[in-house]
Amino acid sequence: MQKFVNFASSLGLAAALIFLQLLALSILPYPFNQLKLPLAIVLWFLVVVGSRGALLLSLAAGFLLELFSVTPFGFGLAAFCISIVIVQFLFSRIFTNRSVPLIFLNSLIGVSVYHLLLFFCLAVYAWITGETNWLGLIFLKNAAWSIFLSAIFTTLLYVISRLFVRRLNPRFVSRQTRLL
Amino acid sequence: MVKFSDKITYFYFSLLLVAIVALHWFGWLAPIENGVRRLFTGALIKVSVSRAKGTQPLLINEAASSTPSRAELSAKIKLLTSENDELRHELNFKKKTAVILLPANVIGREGSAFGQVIIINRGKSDGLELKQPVIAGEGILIGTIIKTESDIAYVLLLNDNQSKVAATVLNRDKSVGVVEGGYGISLRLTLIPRNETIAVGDEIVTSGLDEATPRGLLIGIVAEVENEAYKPFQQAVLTPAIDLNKLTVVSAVAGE
Repeated sequence: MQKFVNFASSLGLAAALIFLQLLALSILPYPFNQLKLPLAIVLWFLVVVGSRGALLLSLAAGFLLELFSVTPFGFGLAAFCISIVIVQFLFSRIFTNRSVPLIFLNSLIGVSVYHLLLFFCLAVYAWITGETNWLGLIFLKNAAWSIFLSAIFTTLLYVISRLFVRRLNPRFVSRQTRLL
Repeated sequence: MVKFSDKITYFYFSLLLVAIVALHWFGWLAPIENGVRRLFTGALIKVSVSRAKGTQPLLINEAASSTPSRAELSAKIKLLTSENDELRHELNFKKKTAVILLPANVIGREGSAFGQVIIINRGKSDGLELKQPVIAGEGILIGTIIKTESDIAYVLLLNDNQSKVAATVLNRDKSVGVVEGGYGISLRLTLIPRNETIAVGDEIVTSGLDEATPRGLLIGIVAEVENEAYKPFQQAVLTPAIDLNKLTVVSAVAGE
């Protein structure tokens, strides 16, 4: 029952994230509409709640994001999930200190990996099919804004949540959590 | 070192990921995807309509009765006059083809970093196909359809880098060129022969040379002409006939 509740709440949260992302894309001016809200919030989720919920949330959010994406299905989803796994690995094995600079660095790495993976998938797709619709300088420019804004957003969220969640305070020793 | 239990989790997670992608490509996830899109589309339309009420008076039911702008009327008059002159000189003439317009709400912008793409709430089930033009108002071209799902479609705007439309200048020479987008900001008319005269204020319309795009859709107005002696062609910077960042109601040109 608890697992079902967790699953349903992940789906609900993912749906809310995607709805907010679509709204932000319409309402916010450039370059602020390049903020990857679902990715930034899942990264924050990874730090605050732990990897248990973040992986499921990344799968749900990535799937929903794919439904409103012009790229071939699966590219964005794979890039989203793999970037979360990589950041989870960095948090648990290398950058275990939950300080603000490291959260910012990890977020930068996470969003950069997402865009790199997406670009790589599209480059392979372009090589196979000959369609180069999505590869251009505009992608690099938008990706740079997205990486910067998303990392800032995640860090800000973390700083605010540190005021309320005790175990995020680096004075306390962080402990490893198992994935599932 | 990665623990064995983590490896198992990564393995099942990867399997789930591959399964979702495979199910999509086999089409088995289509009912779920369409249902979810419909839910989102409904909510996004409500937001889009409420924003339109606040910023623009046009709603989907009022779009058909909207008053054309001066630029649209001017372009139409010039086109009709020139067509009339051509017909008077021909013995046989063709019947003008009627187009079917499907009004649609703009429900959002595409979420990736790939440029200027909007999402409309019409799709394959409404008869939309790839490369069909999309207009705003009475006949202002805003883009073309680049991807369709069952109930939504993705429209590549004119000011996107990848957008290229065959166009005609409504001047004495009837100059033909290609309208290209520039990083989501500008429109340029390129490949104009240097011996033809283009002036600031000339209207640019679609030439009809594209198979799916009818002739006469207004694109923009010449704002600046660049005619360098060392270049084989001249080009012009255009002012779009409509603000492409503030679209709420559009129409897809669904053919004859």
